[in-house]
Amino acid sequence: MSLDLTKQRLSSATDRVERYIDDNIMVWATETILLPAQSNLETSINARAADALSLEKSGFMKIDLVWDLRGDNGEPLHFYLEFGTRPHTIESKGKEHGGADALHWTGPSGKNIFAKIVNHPGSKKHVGLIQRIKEERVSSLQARIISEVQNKIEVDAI
Amino acid sequence: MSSVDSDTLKIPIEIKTDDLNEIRKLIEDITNAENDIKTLKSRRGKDDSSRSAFGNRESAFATDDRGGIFGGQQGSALPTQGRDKDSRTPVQKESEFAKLKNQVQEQESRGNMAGQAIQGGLGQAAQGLGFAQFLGGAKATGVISKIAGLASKSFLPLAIITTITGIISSSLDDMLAPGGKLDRRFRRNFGKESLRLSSLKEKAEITFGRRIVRITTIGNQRGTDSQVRSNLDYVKNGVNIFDVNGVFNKGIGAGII
Repeated sequence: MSLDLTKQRLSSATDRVERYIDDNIMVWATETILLPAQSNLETSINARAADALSLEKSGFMKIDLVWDLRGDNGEPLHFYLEFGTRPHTIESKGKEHGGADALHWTGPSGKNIFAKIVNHPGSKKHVGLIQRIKEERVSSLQARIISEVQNKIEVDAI
Repeated sequence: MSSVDSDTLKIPIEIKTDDLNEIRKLIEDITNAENDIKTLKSRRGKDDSSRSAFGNRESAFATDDRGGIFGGQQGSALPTQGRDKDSRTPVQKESEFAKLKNQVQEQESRGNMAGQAIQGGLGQAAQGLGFAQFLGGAKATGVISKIAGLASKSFLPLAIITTITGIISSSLDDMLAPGGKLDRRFRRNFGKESLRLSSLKEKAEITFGRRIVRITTIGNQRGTDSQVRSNLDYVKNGVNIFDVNGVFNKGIGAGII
């Protein structure tokens, strides 16, 4: 009987602390993970990539760091960046398919370059970027949670 | 671990309190504090330095002020009175009215005892006097005869005073009793109530004779021509049918006009 009561009280204290964390986790995660991560993305990629990053609450004490960066035609650029691309060819669509007959870009010397087809070497520059951001920042979130819970308990004790 | 199910990149972040040592320690501290508070509240004889549920029994029971099963608990954590098994109320409460009633009865019994003591004293004095005369005859006229003289002189006035006091007391009791003349309990004042029962508009209609109010002093005669009067009779003769307090027909009766 006494053991049951002790267990009940223990779970009660745990529940109180966890409910407090769950109620505030979005705010704390925004301040410790999302805003610094957006700053990193803006620096390393561009402002569009930073704006495409957000947070979602997915469960009790659970959140998701969501990246949804799309190209002009809805291509999932976030996958290409996060997981990288293998070497591949890029071919012009052609006028009959609603595109141009030739690809165009500006070369390193500033000259206009036109080509019907190119071989892209693949991209691995930003592979695992969001995952790394999470791994780097989650410790900050944990520290914030510890600090906030301690403050909360002190305030309650007063 | 990332998720690509919904065509967006989702990196889950989950917080577990078990993984956070500081949080785990805080929860343990809270739990221990709660246990300590509960233990301190419920058991005075307990050894505070020990976490044992029973503490040091020798020290707990060494003095007369020992703990017992509730550890000498003070305050009102437990009911001090037994449960009334006939009642649905878990704890029997003392009624304030019953308390007041007991006080009044106590005062009354004191008054009766005082009266009885006076009467008893007088009776005993008279008996003592007779007994002394019987034993000592004419020789025992010393101190006893003086006392007897005093008692015989004071007997009549005291008896009269006692009788008068008894009569006044019983009369007061009768008058203060329910229905008596000095009954101070709630009484209906119909004169005042009539003020509330009729509005100013109704009074005006009655005064101007627009509304007829039939009045008779004899019961079961309402409606007969000889006995029935109405406010029209009074109005016609210039009598105010409302008094200064605004009460209808007060002080005037049918048949006067």
